[in-house]
Amino acid sequence: MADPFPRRPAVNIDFSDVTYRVTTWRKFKPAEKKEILHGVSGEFRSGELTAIMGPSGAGKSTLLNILSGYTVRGSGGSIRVNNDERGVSKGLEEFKKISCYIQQDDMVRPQLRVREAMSLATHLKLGCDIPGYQKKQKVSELLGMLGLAKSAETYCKDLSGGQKKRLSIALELVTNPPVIFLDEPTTGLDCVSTTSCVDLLKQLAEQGRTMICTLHQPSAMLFSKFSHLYCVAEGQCIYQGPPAAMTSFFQSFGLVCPQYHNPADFLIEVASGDYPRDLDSLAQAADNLALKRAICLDKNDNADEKGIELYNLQSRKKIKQTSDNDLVSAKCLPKPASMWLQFFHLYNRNLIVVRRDYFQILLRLICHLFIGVIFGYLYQNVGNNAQTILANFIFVYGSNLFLHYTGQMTVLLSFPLEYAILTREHFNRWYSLLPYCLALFLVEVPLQLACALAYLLPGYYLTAQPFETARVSTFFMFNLAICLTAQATGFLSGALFPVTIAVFLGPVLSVFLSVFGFASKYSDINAPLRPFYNISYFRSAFQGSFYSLYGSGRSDLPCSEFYCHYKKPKVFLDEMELRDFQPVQEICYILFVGVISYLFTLFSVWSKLNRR
Amino acid sequence: MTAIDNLQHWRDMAENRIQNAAKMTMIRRQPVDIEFTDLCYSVPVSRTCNKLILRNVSGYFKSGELTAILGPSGAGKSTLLNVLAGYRIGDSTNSVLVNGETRDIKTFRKLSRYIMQEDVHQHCLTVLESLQTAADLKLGKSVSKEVKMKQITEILDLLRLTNSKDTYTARLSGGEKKRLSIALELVNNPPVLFLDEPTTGLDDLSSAQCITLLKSLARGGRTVICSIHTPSAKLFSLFDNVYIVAQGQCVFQGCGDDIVPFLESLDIHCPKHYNPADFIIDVSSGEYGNHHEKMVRAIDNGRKHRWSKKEEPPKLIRLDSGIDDIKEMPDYGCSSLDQFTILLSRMSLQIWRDWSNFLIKVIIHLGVGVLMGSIFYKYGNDASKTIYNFGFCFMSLILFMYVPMLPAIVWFPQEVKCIKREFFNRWYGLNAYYFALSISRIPFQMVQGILYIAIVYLMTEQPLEIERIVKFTSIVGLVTLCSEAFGMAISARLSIVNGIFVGPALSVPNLLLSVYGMGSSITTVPMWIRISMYFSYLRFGLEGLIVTIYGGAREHLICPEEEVYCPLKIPRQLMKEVGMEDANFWRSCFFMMFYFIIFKVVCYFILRQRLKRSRSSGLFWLIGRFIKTHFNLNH
Repeated sequence: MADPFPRRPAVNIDFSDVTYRVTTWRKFKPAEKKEILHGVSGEFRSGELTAIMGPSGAGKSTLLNILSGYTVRGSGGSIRVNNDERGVSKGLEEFKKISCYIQQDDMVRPQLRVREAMSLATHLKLGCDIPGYQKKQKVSELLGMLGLAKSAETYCKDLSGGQKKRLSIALELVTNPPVIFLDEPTTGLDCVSTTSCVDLLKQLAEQGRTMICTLHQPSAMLFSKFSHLYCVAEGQCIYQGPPAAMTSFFQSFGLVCPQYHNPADFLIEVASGDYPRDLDSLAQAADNLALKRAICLDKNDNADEKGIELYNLQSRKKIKQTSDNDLVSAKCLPKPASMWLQFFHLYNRNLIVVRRDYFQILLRLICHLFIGVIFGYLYQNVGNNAQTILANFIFVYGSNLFLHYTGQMTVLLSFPLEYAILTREHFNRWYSLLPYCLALFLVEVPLQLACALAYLLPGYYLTAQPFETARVSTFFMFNLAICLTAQATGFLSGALFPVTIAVFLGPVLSVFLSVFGFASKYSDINAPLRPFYNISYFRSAFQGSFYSLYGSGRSDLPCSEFYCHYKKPKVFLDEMELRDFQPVQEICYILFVGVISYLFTLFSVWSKLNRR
Repeated sequence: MTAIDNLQHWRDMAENRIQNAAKMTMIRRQPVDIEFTDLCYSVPVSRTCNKLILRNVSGYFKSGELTAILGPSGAGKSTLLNVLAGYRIGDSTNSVLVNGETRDIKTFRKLSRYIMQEDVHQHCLTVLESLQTAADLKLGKSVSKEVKMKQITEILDLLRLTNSKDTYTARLSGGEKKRLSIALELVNNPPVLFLDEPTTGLDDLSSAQCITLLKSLARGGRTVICSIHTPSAKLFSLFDNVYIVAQGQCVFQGCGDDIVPFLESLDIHCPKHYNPADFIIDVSSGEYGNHHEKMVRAIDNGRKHRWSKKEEPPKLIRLDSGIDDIKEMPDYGCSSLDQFTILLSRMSLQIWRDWSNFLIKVIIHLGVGVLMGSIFYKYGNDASKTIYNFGFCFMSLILFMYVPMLPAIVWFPQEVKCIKREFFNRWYGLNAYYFALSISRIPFQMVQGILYIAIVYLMTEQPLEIERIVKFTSIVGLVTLCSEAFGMAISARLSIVNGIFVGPALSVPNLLLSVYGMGSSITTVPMWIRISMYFSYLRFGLEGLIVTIYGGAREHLICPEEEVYCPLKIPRQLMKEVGMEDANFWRSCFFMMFYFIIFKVVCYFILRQRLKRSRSSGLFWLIGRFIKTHFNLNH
């Protein structure tokens, strides 16, 4: 196909009997089931800018979430896309390819520039079939269209509210989706930005898209710009149709809009019950309105078709066909980047973000180096002395504990902080989870390794541990392994628990796991707790590091006094029950725990993202 | 019906509401006028150069008027507001006049309230409770409960918050949050109100309501000054005085209706159907060519207090200075002790409401207690496992170091954000707040600690003597307190992400120093290290625990029959073995208290430095500035 950004077919959405139930858990009381939407129906056409309005709590956001497929659980009724039933599993993925959902809060990465964010989006969504210069052109075109050309080099954090909103729309427009859902696009914007935002939405709708947004108390001028209005009150639809006909509709029920009154405010007042009204009859009438509208629209459609028939029947038919069956055919859908390419671009982005936040990296490296030197100084030369073997025991324990905590704590917050952005980008199909996580992990892993080395090198040298290649390498291997595994568990607990709990649970568990091997021997532990001993990866790393220093036939330690109990390292190893330690097996175990944690992290993030 | 009529009608309605509001029964306050001349403000951009944000601006804001500061983004309107409110001081010390006298920042802070752009409210409180706390804090005990309640009801009415008075603050909508922010500051009727972009983030209706409200407040004799971002014509018509900043200079000052004639006098013509506010901002940001210099000259950079079409500008009557009365005003609404009790009860309520968090922590403590208890089951009195019992003490210490510290690191930065507003608006002194904060957390921590100890102490069969149990608990308690104070001291300056790394990293050396000397007698440890061991509060914690369990007149431990020889049968022997033979319980307690106080004081000073934002001592400021220009510490 010659045009890299093809026109997309028009999409109409209609839905009937959509319900939504939630179960609320309350303190000391049985759970309560509550229906938020009581079977609403309606139809949203392409080329129209639809506003879903209603007082807060009426269910407008819920309706939007259900229509966009963001919420699935608890919803009922049928949603049809161009008259094809959209199933829960089958149609939804297809539907997501042709739609996008822009949430109320604008999640943009603060450290990126506008152009960078845009080109990342194009790279991710358009893949490598489209040459680079066309992508660049597209980015400039979109930025110009949304009035962001001037601030292309601004950092996203410095954008104003209106600009952020426009940027999040621009990011989604890259693939030119025929359906766009917006949750309260005007909330948080000042008057001018609101007007320009709605103008933009209208313009986008007129190009043939289906634009659906929720709206909260617009001004009268803004209100009249919408082409279709859908009003929800207490889970029922009380009006659907053009905004201009709204007042007369309510007038037929004896609800008169006062003079000088914003009709939008009047609508909200009616919906929230400031005027006496019969909700059921309103809902009934609104349904009738919808029917009339559908018939009228269909008629128009037919008329349209007849009008075109004379000279353009063939092509019209074709379009009809594609729009009915082939919504997501390869022809009209740009191919997204492959997994590897996604990974590459995300990794690049993460590197940029990390580089701009260099203070954090510097702090981490310096802290590690500093503490390494302090430890080394405190435990000077303990490694090569029979009398100080216990001190060395503690040094090794301390090093492990230090690396474990720093590894775990630095990444504990990375998922909770990123989660909102991740949800948005993942839902809008920017990338799959695997490349995202891989890019995240692969930024943190080398960083943590560098930090660990900054700590270990001075520490190892100053404490005069043996300089034998085999010992040095195994010692470092065990320490780096615990560091990485700790990082994996940090990711996992951050992904699994809310921050306050994760911050608390992480340290408690690591203290518990570090008891084994250090403060208690296997033979002393009660049988029921022995499994914990075995699964403690901390124990295995600690013992491994210690064994690598003293095990496998280390010669006698120098002793300045007449008698040193631990002159032969073997004696100490025997006492600690380390004689039969299997380094290879244990290091495999530690890394195994790390890999498992990564897998669980992936799984838990995946299930969180897909719990709709 | 034309648009003009519509606007007129709307104005009338607003006026009506304003009239009603002015009749409220609140404390009468001295009106205050604010004048400033040749105000400059600069910020450091790099090592050598400063960026001038405000360039010699002047202006005059009268009481009883609603003043808007407008300007394109980045023009310096927020800075001007900050400087006038005293939130930032900079080089602007002597150029602000209050009622004709040089502003004394301390007195002025009693008069003015500053409502920031973001609305951070105390969590887990309802609107009514927030207002009650504010009233208690600001009006003091001299005002009776009924009067306070009456005022609160009035304010709730005025701000139309009556319907949502029992809603938790976290569940309010954006407009309601803003109104609550205003309501909280209205309680003791301040004569000067500063608002940073009160309408940003509100929808059309809410911002109209908000500005109407502000106007009604101004009518009551207050000086209301707000910065605002592109208002609609409707809102714009409500302002009595408009001050427009562009590129750090004043380009217009006067009535909103005078903007069009003003521009015409400079040969710039506003198109019909164009909002004059939008137009002048477009002009000043250079969209219609460079008129900036011309405009600045015409208004004399703000020295012309009201531009008017007529030759003679309306005479502005200067108020008599009433500053002397204000000087006698107390700093805060009530005494420090009252502040302390009010804050303490608020914090306790918040902790109580957050019960699920508490429950989870209790359950985890119980679980870990049982697990630790079963690992070290019956170790306490077994002579062959004395060294492992030592390990048990060490582990418990590690637990009680990390567990209070990490949540504090996460939670405290949020808290700081919240108190910034309340502190700046002089709800309470830092001392009272800090004491209340320190104390409110203690019972919560203690309950967790005691639960853990009760389980562990029994399961591991430590000596069941009342004295030892009490001592054991108090040492653990002290460690908990120290750790939390340590965590707070770290997070008082660092952001969450950095704090959560620095905290655990610094505590590991702390831990290692505490067991340093194990295996050898204390006398062999080099002097330097012995001194550095005094820096570790955990060292004292560990000494305290060991001396509690093994010190005093304790009988020899029981050596199990299957063991041939137990080297650590005599309790004293263990203390010697781990290098703690000269440990002393009271010394441990003393040093831990000492460190607790040190951490608290450090945290206090960092907090104070952050909240007051004044140039304290020269050196401190220089260091702070160096860090700010070289590292990105802002959060």
